[in-house]
Amino acid sequence: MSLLAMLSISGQSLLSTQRGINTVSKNISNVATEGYNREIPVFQDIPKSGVFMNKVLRVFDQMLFTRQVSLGQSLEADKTYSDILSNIENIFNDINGTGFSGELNQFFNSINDMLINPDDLSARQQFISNAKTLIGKIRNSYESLQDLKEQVVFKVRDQITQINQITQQIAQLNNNIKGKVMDIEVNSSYLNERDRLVSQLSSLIDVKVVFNPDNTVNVFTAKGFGLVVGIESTPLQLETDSNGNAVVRWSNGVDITADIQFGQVGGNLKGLIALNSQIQNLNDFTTVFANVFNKVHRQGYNLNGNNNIDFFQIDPSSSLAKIDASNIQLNISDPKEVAIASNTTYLNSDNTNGKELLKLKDNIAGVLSSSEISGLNLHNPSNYNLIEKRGLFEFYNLKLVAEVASKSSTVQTQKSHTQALYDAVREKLQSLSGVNLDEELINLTKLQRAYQANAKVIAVADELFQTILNIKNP
Amino acid sequence: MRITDLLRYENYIQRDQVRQAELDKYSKQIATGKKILQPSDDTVATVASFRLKRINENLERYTRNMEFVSNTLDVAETALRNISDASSEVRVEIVRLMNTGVLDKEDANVLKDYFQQMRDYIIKTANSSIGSTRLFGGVKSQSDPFDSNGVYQGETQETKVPIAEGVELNTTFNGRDYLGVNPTSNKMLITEAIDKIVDIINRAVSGTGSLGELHNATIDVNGNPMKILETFDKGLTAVLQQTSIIGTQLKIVEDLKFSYQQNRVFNNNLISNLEDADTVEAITNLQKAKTAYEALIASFNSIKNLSLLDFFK
Repeated sequence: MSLLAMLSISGQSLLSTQRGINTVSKNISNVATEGYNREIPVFQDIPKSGVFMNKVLRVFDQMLFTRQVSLGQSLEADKTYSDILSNIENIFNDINGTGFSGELNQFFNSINDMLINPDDLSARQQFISNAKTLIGKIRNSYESLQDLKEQVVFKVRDQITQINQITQQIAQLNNNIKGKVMDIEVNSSYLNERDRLVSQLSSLIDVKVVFNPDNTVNVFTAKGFGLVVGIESTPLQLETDSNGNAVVRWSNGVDITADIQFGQVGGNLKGLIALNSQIQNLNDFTTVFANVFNKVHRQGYNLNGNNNIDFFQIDPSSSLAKIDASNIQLNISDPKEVAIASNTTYLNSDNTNGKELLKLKDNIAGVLSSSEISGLNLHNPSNYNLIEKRGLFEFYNLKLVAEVASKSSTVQTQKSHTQALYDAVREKLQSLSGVNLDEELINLTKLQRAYQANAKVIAVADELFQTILNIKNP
Repeated sequence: MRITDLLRYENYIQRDQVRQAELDKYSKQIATGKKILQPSDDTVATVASFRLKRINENLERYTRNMEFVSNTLDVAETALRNISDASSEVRVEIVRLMNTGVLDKEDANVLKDYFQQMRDYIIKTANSSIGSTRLFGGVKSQSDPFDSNGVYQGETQETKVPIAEGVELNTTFNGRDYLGVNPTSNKMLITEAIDKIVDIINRAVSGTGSLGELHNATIDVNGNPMKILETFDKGLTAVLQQTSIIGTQLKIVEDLKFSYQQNRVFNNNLISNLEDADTVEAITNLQKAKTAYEALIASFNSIKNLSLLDFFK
């Protein structure tokens, strides 16, 4: 082997080691980068020559990554859904002062004072004040639910925008990955960035990711609508229907709202369903309560000797044709107008109708005719049957508190379970692909030594050359 | 397992969140005094607590109704007792008159005045009221139920208020039943009998009749001719019976009031068990969470600088 070959081998080795040091340096730089997959320089000896850095191995487990993506989208859905349910719960958290169970009971109980002395205007005034408080609480609960619903729809709008940006970026990265197959260092960075975006996308919406042999990915919705196919991305659109609900459409207008079950968008859409259900139950409760109370009130006579007067009415500013939680209002303001008597001769001492009003607290059966019941136009007609069978308070307890609380409790348990699974997979993936600084420092030392050794060989070769060159000049 | 730097930090962040959530939970429990911070913490206990609170509010309301009712019943019982006491005295005089007659006209007039005064007293007592509400006129409570002749002008419909599920007690009473009114004449039997006696005395004094009629004269009671004393006794019996009924109602009120108080105490205990935080337990849990949190911080502190980097020169 010639001295020049020796120099050539050492030079080649220096360059290879330098590239190895670059890789280690990149790993050290990204020690705190979320989603970074460490890289291992792979050296290969060249026959009759030195060393060559054959490739940079990107440490990545596709199976674990796919599992992490799948669990991540379930977890994000559970977290988002759980937050919304928790917010709904807080609106009906009577133990801590929200909700209106106490006000409803107070409203009915204050009828007793009028029963004892139907002529007592202060008892009547107190009853009207309690009615106003109850109405205020009902309308406040409704408005809180509506506000929450609007916020959720706004969030979904932002998330859809984010999804469209991410799919666009993934398509662009697919294009870059295809064009940089040979540049292994650059390609690894693209792949890391792509996986980070896929993780981010899956936290927003449930997607299926197909890894192609050329390292690009295709991303589809759960039901197979393509979001990224090759280098093309298809945007999603968000619309709101007449009830203010979010409608997600794919490219040519296909409604895919019902297909989205996971990710933050899925959680928000589930939350919207829960919110709508809660609003409908609250509206049905208010409609039934106001109508049965009005019916009995109309049958009685007030202190002025008038009957057929509603106690509740629709807020004039409302465009709706029926009383519900959005528009319930008192129809009377004068305490004399409360219809406590049934006997027109003894308006100030008869309390018969007042007792009928008080009975509604526990039992509304038989108050409305079947045509009146169907005329209530409830969102869920079975709600009337439940109120008729179990009473207003039990309906409140069951449908407005217990139903959402038990759903919330279930989702919280599910969230904890998914979180544990997700953490385990993430830990495994991190353990495999993450950077350990000690390891990298040792590798750095190893490559530094190799570099020094190669440099030494060059110095030795130089000395040898000098020796040979100095032979003719003693 | 291979431990990476990022994993170590992420795990710390995660555990730190868990510990801080625990600290937040237990300090909230102590601050609010409630262990149920949201219905989903314990749905069954939340709903059970709502139900118990509602029952307690109802009991409180019933107790308030009972305070008023028992006052009304007290006044009504006293009025009826006064009427029955007065009537018993009158009865003694009637029996004496029937057995021994009178010595002379003066005696007869004195006796007549006595009967008339007692009759007026009975009518006045039957018109007893609380404030402007007459007790024995039924729902017609704003005017005297009995006129000066003892004729009933009230209603049979009574005013009642609930004091328990399905139990109502009177705040006004049907004077027809409570004071023994003759359905034929619409007069109180007691005063009608007294009126008849006064009439006989008047006629005996004027010489158009005799006191002997006291033994034979009859009063039409619901189509049946009844002798004077018999009529009087029927009226008195009605008053005595109704007095005892009111006494029974008062007993019911007292019994219910006691049982309501007991129930409210039991319910409050149960509500407290369901929703109130056990302070000792919460403080212990907070202390545990605090210790765990401190241990976490200490362990992080002790190894955060442990790296090969520190040994590189």
